[in-house]
Amino acid sequence: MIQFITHNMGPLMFMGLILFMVIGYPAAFSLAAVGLFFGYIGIELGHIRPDFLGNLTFQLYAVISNELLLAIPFFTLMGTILERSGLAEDLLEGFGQLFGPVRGGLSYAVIFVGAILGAITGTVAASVIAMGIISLPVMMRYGYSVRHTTGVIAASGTITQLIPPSLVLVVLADQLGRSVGDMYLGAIGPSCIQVALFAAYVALLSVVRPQDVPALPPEARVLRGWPLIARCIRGMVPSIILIFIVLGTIFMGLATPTEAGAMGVVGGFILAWLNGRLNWDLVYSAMSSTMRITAMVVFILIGARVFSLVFQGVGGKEWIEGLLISLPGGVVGFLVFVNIFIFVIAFFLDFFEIAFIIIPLLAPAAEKLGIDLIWFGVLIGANVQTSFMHPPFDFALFYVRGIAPPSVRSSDIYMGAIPWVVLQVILVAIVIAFPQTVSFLLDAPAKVDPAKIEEQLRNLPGFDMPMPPLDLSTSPRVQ
Amino acid sequence: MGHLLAISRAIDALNKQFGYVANYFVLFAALLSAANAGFRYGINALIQLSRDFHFLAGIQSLVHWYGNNSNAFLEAQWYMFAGMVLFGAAWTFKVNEHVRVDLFYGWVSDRARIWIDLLGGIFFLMPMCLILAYVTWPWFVDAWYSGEVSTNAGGLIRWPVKLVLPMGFGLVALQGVSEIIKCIAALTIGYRREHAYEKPMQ
Repeated sequence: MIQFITHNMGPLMFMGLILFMVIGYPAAFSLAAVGLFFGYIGIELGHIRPDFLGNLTFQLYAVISNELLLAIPFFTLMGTILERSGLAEDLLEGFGQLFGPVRGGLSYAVIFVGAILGAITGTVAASVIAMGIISLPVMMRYGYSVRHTTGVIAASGTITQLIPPSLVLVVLADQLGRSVGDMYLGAIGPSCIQVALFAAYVALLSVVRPQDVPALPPEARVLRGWPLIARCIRGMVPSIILIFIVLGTIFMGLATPTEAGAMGVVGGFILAWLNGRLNWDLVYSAMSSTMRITAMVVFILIGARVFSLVFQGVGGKEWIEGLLISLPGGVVGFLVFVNIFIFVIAFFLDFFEIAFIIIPLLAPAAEKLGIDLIWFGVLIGANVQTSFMHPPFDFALFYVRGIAPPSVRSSDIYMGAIPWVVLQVILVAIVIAFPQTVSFLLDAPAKVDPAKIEEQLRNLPGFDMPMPPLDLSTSPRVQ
Repeated sequence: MGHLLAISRAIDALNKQFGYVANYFVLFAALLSAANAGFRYGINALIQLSRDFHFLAGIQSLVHWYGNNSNAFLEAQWYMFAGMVLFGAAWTFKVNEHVRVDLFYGWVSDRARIWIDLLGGIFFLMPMCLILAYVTWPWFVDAWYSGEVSTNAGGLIRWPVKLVLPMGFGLVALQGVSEIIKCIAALTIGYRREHAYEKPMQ
């Protein structure tokens, strides 16, 4: 019996993970508990040395001193503020009027604005809530089908997760040990394809089921000519400035993603102030919800570090790696399996749990198979979008539910999401089939350039001591 | 039971204060980080300005002051990050916003949920927090006695951030005690727990 346990600590611990997590106690604590429980058994059986747990301190310290993770509170805060800054309203009213005369025009406007908001913020809530409040009543009033309306709003909100600057990609870059800048460049192609897919679907609907996506009647088109153009410009100008502040500075190598997030926060404050919406209640509620999300996420990471330290110690990583490498079908077989696995596991775990628990298990096998981890990361990023569109972590649908009138049935919201999930799965298939969609921009010279930032730092007057190398490409981690 | 609930209320009140501090860390960290980045872009322009306009000479000393302390400002960002996570985790736990896998939890009765929270608190949360506080504490003690300072020029002293780890786990353990008391009260005298579990918003 003891011998059986000793030889199968990896698989047993993995089963322990499932068992402990399914009970339903907060995941962060359950994860750490599995780790410590099996750590204790491992030490008793002489599998790992007692001082092995001393590494824990380094691991925990590496988590809190990881500057990249600061992007989590910054992007969340920026999203919460922008959601209430009035930006989405300006954009949607302009583009809704602009595209309105066409069949499906309001849907195009939502998709387009979702992409613009996605290029500014990195969180789903900001886009979905802001877009839903404006577009949902208008679309329903002019006869768009309920399922299509809720689906397009939720799906366009999840584009945020793929279009840079996305929080999902920051976290994946950190877990895969790749540079965030490269991850962002790699994601540009797939996010354009996704927008195109969504628009193509609306175009198809307007032919196949025109009654679902009617054009706006003339009396609803209140803006014409110059006022309409002015309205669109009013939405676009601050958007372009914000996109430059956040995304532009990252791509030009002027700022780290973390700093870009922080400047996005300031930009959001300024925009909210210009629109007369900045007040202390808004700021404080944004701060406190950001704090709770950050604490929740980073505690999952802490729990996951405790788990994976012990899992590594008992040889679990080799076990998983062996299993994954021996999958039939080579690289494609591995990717198909991994993507199906993540698609399924997303019904049980939320994104951060997937990123912190599952990804570190998959990454070494992917690397051994010679898979480019940027491509792999973007694929996973595209894949987890679906998890926002189906239960139980259907945040995008949840927000739509929150703003939809009671007459909209929840079953309609779920049914409405299905076509969009299918489109997202198609996107994943496209990216697997054509790695160039990710890699074509990566050979371009514009990258986050650590040397450039370091040089700026060196030019600061007052430095007599040599600067330590600034390593932006990988986060500081102890492994 | 009344005494125990009083203890629970006291713990909640304490962690509310720490949560309050953690909220402010979010805002200050974001503003500081933006200022750091902004200052770095703007620094050459500022120096040029102060050369061209003599009445702006004060800027030059400001720039020098910033240059001498820039590592301290950069490090203060993640000190505050550590603070918001570890001071805020207990309050986040109090308002029941740590994400769960609610496959089973979402399906069972209220009473079964109380049992899960009670046993989870005793067997998952308390051992984790106590062990993690125990292993991180000596690090703080070392840093405190050795007066360890960042290896970056002009960086910050290290013990505060090393204290944050054991303190945070201690606070979560305390909150664990408070929640365990509430579970026992709920099972025995029908105490109503105030925060039902909802999926955290992202």
